[in-house]
Amino acid sequence: MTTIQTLPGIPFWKRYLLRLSIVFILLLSVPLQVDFYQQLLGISWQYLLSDLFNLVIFLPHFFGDISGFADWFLLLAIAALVAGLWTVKGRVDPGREASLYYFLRIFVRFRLAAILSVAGLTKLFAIFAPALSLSHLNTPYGYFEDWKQLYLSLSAAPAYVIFLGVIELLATVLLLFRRTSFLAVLIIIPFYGNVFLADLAYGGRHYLASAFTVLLTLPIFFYDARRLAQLVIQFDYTSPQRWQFDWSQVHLGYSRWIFKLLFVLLFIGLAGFKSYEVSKTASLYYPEQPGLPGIAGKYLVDEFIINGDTIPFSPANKQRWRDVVFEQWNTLSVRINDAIKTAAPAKFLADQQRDYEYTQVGGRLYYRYTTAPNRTILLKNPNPAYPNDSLRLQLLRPDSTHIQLYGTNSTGDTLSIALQKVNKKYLLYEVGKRGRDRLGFKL
Amino acid sequence: MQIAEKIQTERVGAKVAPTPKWTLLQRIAFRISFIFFIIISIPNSPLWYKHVFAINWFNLDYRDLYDICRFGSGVSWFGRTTFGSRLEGYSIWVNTFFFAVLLGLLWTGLAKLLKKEKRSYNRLYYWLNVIVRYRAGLGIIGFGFTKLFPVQMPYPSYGILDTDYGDLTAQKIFWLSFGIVPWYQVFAGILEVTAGTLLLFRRTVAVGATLLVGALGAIVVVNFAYDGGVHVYSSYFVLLSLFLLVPYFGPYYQVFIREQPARIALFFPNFKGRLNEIRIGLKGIIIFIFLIVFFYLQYVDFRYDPYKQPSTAGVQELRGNYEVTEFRLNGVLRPFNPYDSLRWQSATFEKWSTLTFKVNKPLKLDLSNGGGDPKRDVNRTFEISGVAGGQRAFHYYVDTVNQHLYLEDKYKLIPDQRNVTAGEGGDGGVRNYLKSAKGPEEKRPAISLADWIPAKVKASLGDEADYVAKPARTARRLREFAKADELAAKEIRERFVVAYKIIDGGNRVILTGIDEHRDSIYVILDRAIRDYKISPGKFEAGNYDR
Repeated sequence: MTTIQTLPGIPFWKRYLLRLSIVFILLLSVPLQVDFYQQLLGISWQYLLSDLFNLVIFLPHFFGDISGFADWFLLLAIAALVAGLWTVKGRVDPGREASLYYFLRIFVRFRLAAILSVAGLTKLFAIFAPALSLSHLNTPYGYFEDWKQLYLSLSAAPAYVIFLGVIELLATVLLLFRRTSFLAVLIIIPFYGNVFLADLAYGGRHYLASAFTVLLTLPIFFYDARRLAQLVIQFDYTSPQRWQFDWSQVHLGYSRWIFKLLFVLLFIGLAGFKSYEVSKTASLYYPEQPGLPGIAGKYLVDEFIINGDTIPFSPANKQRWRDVVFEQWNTLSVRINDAIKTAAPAKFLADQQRDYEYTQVGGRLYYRYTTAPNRTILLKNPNPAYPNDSLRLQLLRPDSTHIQLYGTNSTGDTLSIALQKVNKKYLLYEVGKRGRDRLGFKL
Repeated sequence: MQIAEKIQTERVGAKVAPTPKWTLLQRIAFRISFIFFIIISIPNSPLWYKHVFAINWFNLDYRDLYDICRFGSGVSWFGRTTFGSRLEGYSIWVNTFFFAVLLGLLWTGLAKLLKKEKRSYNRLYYWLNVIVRYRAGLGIIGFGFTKLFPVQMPYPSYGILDTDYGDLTAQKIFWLSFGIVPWYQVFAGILEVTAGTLLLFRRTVAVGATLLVGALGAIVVVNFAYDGGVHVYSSYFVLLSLFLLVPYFGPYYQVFIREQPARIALFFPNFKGRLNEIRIGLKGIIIFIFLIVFFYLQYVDFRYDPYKQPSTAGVQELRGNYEVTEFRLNGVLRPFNPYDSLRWQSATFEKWSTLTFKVNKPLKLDLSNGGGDPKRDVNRTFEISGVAGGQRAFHYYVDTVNQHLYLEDKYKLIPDQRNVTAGEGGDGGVRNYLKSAKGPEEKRPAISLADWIPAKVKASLGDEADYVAKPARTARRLREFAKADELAAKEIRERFVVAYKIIDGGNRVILTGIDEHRDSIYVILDRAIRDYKISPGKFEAGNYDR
């Protein structure tokens, strides 16, 4: 077996494409906007994971609050120009080309690993999709927007999300090493290609984040794709690429493992620890404030008196409440017959917002309550579409299943409402307890 | 993009014979695999063979081909358990494996004894790969087409849209979450059909099998996480694909991880002359039937007769959601009250021939996946399976002349068996539900089948087989409807009859008649426009606007 060292001439288009890739990927990856640095400086220790998540998927957004195709076209145009100048100016040196490509691959490996580890950890620790709330369980299927449907369906079976997280973390580990990085992108491309399509299908707003992830895999993929095809499609004898960068030329070149170690400590060690902590203590989606003790549950509205007029049970009346849900936390939601104005969610996992329960869903009005003296609760609708919707109610609990509410709403109507707790059993959970494999299951 | 300096290694003998002599261990492993994979690639249910011989090839139904692709396999003589455990349904594989080990060792012993040791099994290995490739390829193509034309996971019915989230099973939730995004389902279908097609060509096996491991691996996990019940059948494709990938693992590891030159050691026989013509001819026929004809048949199913939804159009003016404004039972007015267990709380008329209404009392539920191959609308139960919340669903025949609805409960205690030909090693379908050998006693319905529709009306209803458009009147459909009366007589269902009156173009509907307990009912329904946030169905299956 003889080996012949050759230095083939490199066509213009290859040199151009390489430079285009480098400039374009750098322009997309290096944040040029102030809000990134504001977020970076405002990073919170308690919610490290959600802040990290938003930082690693940060993409340029010159024309709006999130990255759009316009941003990408602009940056692509700039990259095309810069790459053109660079290609024409630079001299042709195969070694230099190889080194440039090598550093591009290193860059995308770690950029990808940062995204995948954080995304994987949110899934592994089931932070990604929150538990279903009682209000959601008591809202008809058709009242959720498509994107919410995706989240709810993931919430219904945490095991699947955990599996997805394990795959992402596996890919992260494979990305840390040059020789396994090709295998990693063979996993990531279908995974994130699928995420991209799901984003489009369910009307997710951040579909360019998954597109970006796929884009980052391409330098690694195309480096070895031809060899893979030669091996598994053409069944040819295949030699590996043996070119290696000479790290001894670089000052401290042999200490580069330290950077890798730091990367692992931050994105796997620390981020992993913090996500474990979050998963054990708080939800990032629902309010932290606990609700009144022992009140959580579903209640039917036995009596509804507004301004002294009793409104009897009615399937169509728009004023009357149909049922009320008290959550474990300080939320109360009311099913009504009227149309609901939905709000869009704030940034994903943003800790201050905790708007998950009332965004992208209709059917119910949501109120956060605080207690006041004289057994009174003050209710405020957090939905920005209802800025003035608030209630002041005296809450009496004659026994463990009944609640009496007296008070006024924001338009000055007086209300007197009697609630009775119902022992609602949810098929979603009941069937898990008893299994589907029996006849005559009754619920 | 290879820019770097290259080390070009001279190609070593273009025709390297794959490992000339196999070791003893290799030979034993091969013999066991050979027996195991042959057994699990062959249908084990006599029903499958019966079905294939009964196919009318001149009036095909998509389900005819689907059933060819979907069968159970494995050694079923030792029952459905291993040491008393079902192993989540995998026991048939384990039993088959034990059986294969036994025969494999016996084979090795005999070969030694008779001094008929072979140097290698390259040729036999090739044929084993061919069988597994075609089994996996056709199997997933059959599966994929029901997604490519999105009928496997239908868009939720009006009744389901109006059902509280907590009143659905996890399985239902997952299926519906696919149903609401048909284009995504189409993409999944394209992926599966492509993976299957790639397995039919030797050079693209690695790509096809890898796609299959990824896609079906995820489906296995989904089935465990959501209790979907199809975990064994989806694992089947993962297992077959992993077997097909065995020759590729080593060389991949060599080239990309160890960075050593390597090649795939696979032997391909050289087909010449007549033999090659036969090979190409057979392959052409398979591709024609399972890709081209199947595509057309699945299109017909999607367009006219989506297999999980009733295909008969519902009365146009009735369709939609209703509030029950007035409800009289035996003449007594029952005002709206969420605690009332007799009154209807709300109702829907579907696009197809179904009426649903909600009552406030526990109901017996159909917890199956609601799939299968029934042709009669009453047995298409996707709209009730895995759905609680007191919602009852009734299939109806409509007499438009006298404005009468003849309704029958879509629920029956023993759901139809799904995938009959799948046999042992399939997912078991309804047999799983029969575990609790004797279900609760069933009451005879108050209105018997004979009392239900008067003969004169029945004659005027015509043949239900013809309710679908002509292309969907397949031999299979006609065959099932020829037995429809016989099948209906066996089913225990509640039935009732009402006259309907459409007022103001369907904004108000009045139903009068006798209900399933022979009580008289008088119901005023007022149309309700629901404030749904979900995006309305796109690319919807069925033909309901005739």
